[in-house]
Amino acid sequence: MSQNKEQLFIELINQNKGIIYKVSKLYMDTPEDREDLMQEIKLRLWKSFESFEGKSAFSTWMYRVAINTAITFFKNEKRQPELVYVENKLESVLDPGKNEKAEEQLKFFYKAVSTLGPVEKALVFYFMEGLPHRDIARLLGISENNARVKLSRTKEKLQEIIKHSHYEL
Amino acid sequence: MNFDELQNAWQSEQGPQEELSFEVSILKKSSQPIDAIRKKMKHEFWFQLLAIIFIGFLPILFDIRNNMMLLFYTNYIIMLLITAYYFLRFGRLFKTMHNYNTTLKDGLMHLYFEIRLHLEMYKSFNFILIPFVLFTTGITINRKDLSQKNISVPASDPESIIKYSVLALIVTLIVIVFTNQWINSYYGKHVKKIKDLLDDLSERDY
Repeated sequence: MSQNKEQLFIELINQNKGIIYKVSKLYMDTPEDREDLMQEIKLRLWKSFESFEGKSAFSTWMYRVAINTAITFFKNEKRQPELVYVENKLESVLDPGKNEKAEEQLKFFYKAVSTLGPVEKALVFYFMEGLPHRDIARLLGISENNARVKLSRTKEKLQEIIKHSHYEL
Repeated sequence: MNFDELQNAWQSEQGPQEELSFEVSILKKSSQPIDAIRKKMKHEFWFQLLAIIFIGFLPILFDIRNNMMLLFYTNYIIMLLITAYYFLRFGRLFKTMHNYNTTLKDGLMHLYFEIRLHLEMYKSFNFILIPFVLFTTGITINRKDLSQKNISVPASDPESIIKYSVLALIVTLIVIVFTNQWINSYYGKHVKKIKDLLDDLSERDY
């Protein structure tokens, strides 16, 4: 990779670094695992950058590589996530200007999502990023109708999880 | 639960202020299934290579006589050629990099078939060596009888044919069962997980 292209890559990645943090936070439960996943995503982005042709937005390309990497990052597979509050260093990613309730809600939301399956997490991630069903379907490689049905079911499941944990968001 | 509020909070997350580092030296460890399988297989190939080299020295170690040497090394060279072919094929597969720049389903499908291809090739490599290993073992075990009778093939009376056929069948079955069990327990979990992910993406349930 040439010096200019390398510089461009680092700039673009840093402009969209929130994607890497959020995907890592969504898929891994401990700070150590998140750090490992972030490294893995960065490695895959680095190696895949040569094939980025600019036909789609850089963020869309990053979504694709990050989720594809996270979903097959089979680490600590036997550990079941628990729906409890755990302090971790990634909490610092929250905007300091946000009110405490929103932070708390989001923190609980992450914990609720941690009990979902890898594909459900991908659906939730794209939904939270504000992508329409059509784009979610395109990124996952499924039909728009399938994306809509699966997302709707995942949201219902999330609501059930939160309801059973006696927390109201 | 208000998803709109959550979405707003989510989208305001920007990540830490500091820039991401990209030192290539620390970006070398991978936990991807295809990399894990390749790493395990590479370790096993070293052992297989050592075993094949060891087999080449059996005539010296077990004093296999001159009249059996030609048969032994003809068999050994064929075994070497087959091994070299498979090692080359595996080498090419190891060099191909998994593409992460596709849709999730396409990427998983490709990964699933890539791993299945690795494992099926690995199985066939093990199975194809069975007759050669049996033949080599037969010559080594019966070296004294073969040498005394001054013959170049094992006894061909019906009793011996049945005895060796049954023995070959049992050994073959044991190798097949063991190889399948080994691959399923050592590598199969990756295949199953990817298959489960593909099932989760399927459209069959609505």
